[in-house]
Amino acid sequence: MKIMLVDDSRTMRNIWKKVLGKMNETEITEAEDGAKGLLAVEEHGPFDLILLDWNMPNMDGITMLKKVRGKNISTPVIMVTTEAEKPRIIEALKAGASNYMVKPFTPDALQSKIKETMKKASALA
Amino acid sequence: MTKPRSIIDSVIKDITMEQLLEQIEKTVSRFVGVEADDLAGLADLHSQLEVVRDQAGQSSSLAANQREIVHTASLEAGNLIEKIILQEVDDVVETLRIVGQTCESLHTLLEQISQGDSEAVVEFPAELKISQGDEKPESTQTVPEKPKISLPENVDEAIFREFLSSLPDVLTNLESAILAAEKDTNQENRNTIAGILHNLKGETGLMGLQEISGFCHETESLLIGAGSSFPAEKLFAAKDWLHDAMNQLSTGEVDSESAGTDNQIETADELHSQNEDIAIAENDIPLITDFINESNEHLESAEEGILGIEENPEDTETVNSIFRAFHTIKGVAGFLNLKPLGELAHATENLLDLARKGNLTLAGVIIDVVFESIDAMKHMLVILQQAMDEHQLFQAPDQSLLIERIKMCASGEIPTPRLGEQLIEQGVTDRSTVKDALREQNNESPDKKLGEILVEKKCVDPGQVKQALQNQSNQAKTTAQKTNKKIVNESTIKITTSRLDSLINMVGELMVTQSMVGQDLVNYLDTNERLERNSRQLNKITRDLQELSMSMRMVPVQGTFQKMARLIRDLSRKAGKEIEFKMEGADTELDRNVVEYVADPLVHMVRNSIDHGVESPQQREEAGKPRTGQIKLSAFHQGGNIVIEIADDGKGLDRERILRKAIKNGVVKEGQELSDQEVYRLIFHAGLSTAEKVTDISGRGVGMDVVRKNIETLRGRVDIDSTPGQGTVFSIRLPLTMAVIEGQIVTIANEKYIIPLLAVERSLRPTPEQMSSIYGGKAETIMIHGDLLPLIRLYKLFNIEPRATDPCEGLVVIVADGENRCCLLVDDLADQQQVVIKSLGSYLGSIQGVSGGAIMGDGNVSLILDIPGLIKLAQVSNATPALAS
Repeated sequence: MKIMLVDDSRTMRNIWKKVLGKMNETEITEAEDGAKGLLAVEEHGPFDLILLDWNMPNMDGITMLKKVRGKNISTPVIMVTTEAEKPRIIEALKAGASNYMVKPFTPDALQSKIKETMKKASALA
Repeated sequence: MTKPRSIIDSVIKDITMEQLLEQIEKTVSRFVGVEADDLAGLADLHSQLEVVRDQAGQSSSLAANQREIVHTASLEAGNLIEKIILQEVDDVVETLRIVGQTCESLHTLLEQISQGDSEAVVEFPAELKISQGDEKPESTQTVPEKPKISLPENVDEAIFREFLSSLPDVLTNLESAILAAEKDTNQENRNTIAGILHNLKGETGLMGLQEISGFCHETESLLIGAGSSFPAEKLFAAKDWLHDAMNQLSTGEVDSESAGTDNQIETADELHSQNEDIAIAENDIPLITDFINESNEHLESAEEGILGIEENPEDTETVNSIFRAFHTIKGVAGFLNLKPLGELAHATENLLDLARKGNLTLAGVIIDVVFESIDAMKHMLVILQQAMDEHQLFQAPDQSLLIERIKMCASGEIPTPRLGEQLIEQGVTDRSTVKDALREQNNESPDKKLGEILVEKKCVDPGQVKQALQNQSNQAKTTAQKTNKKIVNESTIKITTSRLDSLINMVGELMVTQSMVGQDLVNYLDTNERLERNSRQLNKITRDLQELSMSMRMVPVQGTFQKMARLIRDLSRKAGKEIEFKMEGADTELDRNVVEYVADPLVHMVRNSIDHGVESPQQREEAGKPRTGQIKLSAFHQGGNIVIEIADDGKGLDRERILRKAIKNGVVKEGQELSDQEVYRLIFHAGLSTAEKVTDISGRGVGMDVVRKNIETLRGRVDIDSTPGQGTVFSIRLPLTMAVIEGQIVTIANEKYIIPLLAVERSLRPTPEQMSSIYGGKAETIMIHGDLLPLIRLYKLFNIEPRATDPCEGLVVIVADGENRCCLLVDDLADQQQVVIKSLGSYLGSIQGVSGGAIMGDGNVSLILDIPGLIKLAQVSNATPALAS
């Protein structure tokens, strides 16, 4: 499964990698802001899943999401938010996110959220 | 709540019935395709309902109440969808069913209206609590007796405090809005009330104050559901409930914020037990190493950034990046269970969030605090690294004091004026516009800066915003220079009044001592220019200091006047009268202590006006007056005092009746000559009530007596002016402060006495022709401008040998207390000056004719004369010759 992680914190990406590493056969690409993420989608896509953080320099999560959807790319996107940003989740969904994840999350929670999202995505395909 | 929009918008975008129908059909079909776990579909449905809501608000094809119904239904359905998405409902299937039902009902409603049925009524799911037509819903709107509020747990303290401090204004506005709507139940007034409730609902909801949020919702529904009638009583009761709730929240707050230092220690202890030593797992070491490295990088760049910010407070990119640094650290720390780092990062992140939204300028004190935070973080990372290297427990140092400081900065307690405040102060915009913009920012566009929003709304122009930001950072710089490093204990604005009183007392003493020193210096001043200059400087500074300390206790009368509005409304209804309330000069300021004492007398006098002054509508009509009576409260400064007037246009005081009652009660002798004013003042006597029946609100004669006592305690006086048939005016005259009075110093032999300047009318040397005596020489009077005024020989009272026993060789000071006057015989007049009042203490007891002592510049104590007491003495000795001294 080709997964892209978009988050400006290297440590954060490391944590995710650690969790995802426990899942089978994952190939992980990283991007440290929305602009680089967009570039990665164009050059290394298509991906099977994108994990997207909200607050980033150069281009934040929601902007990148809108642009990706604007290019008619329907890759499932899980938006990662903090507890305080929960009320804005509906905004992310309207912008095209497939699902959302509130951090901090347990590895189990992340895994099941990913499974759930992928299942839905394949059902729609 | 419909957003304010320009006229042009509403003209161009009027939505037709067709469009509405099309939209609702679209919505219904969207619903059909949606399932509970289909987030995208739910989000889309949410959008469709938003469109329905907006369109309905802009459509002239709907009647006002229909618009309300569509608005509420679509809004509620949208909210339910949000809850489903956020997984906040227990029974998703049921909730979804309700949403679907609502869409169907909306569809049916709009269809019926479009087919010409303008009175269409459709059933909506009961959970939405919508009612239509004129039925007043009975069961759901019972106002709970007392609010029981549970304080929210997870809410950010700074945000909560800010919310709490904005509440009183919100509730005052609510009450005014209800009052206004009661007078004129037009749609706009109703919308204002609904708007306030709606916003409050949103804010409290966000904060986890569910009881309050739910209550606002119910009240909003009550208002909308009441159709064309206006449930004023219930709305007032609701406002009272909210007021209670606010008090509960505030006390909850206050309890946790009690006496500064104590609380600091408490919090520190708490945090210490929370700052448990953390064990580092082997597995996590690589991650933590990464974390430390990355965090250090972030902190470095943040530090560089901050250094540049002082020159360029508007460099948003840098502010953003500093914000992100802390945001990231917080996020990762959460994962790695590094709580101490997470907490500090969280507090700093909040502060920076405010800064990047434009609500706070990074300057002065705020920058200091961010630097401190950066340092503290770096330090903690070093300790973390050590712990890892040595395989020890991670013991983070206690950061609670720093976090407190950061939170204070965020909540604006350190005086760095926010952008909004700046603009208001400059008169460029007003508070309500700023509040709207802030709300918009919070609810809709959190990414926009406050300045941007205001400019967009055309409330200010970009130049003004830039100017304000510049001012802000300039002011912040000067504040930083003034503020101490140890911010915690000294910068809170809340202090106990007793402490403030002590300060003011001390300043008073300082004044006296300074003037004593000044007196002693007089002899040396001629020969020493530098000494004279310094002495003058000292004088000035002391005076400034005194003025400043006085001003700290000053409070506008607005609050007290505002309470009267509600009181007048309630009482006038009870009395069955129609009364309009007017205020003037509400921003006039009074010493806080004085304000408290003046409130009760005001209440009594207002009650008096309503009960006995203003006539019933019928009586007024018969008298050719407008049905609605008027009560006006005004406050203004006059000659170093403050005057508060209560005026009504009622039937005035009945001189005869008062006189009769006074004679009956033995207060006045039959046949005594009394001026109008003197008669009116009799109403202040205890036991004198000329009310025919004692109502439960006044008429027992106790009230007015209390008024007199209170005013006397304040060293003020009450004057009454009344015209039968036209109205009455009570004027309360008060000195601006209770601790210091302006005094006229008079001398008798070598002794100095002080007469409150307030009471002094004039002084003169009488001619023998003016002197006369009555009652066989036992009582003396002086004829002044046709009035016969009693004379008191002060030297006799105080038992001293004066310079002049003959008034024609001494000086007579005419003093007044309201309408009563008398003459005091003294030797000479000396200066007028401010003196600090000291009570004589219980040892001496109370002395006739003396109200207190004062320390003079030369160190001696002088007695302050009690003018009302002396005047009474003069009258008694005149009225009852047997008692003449």
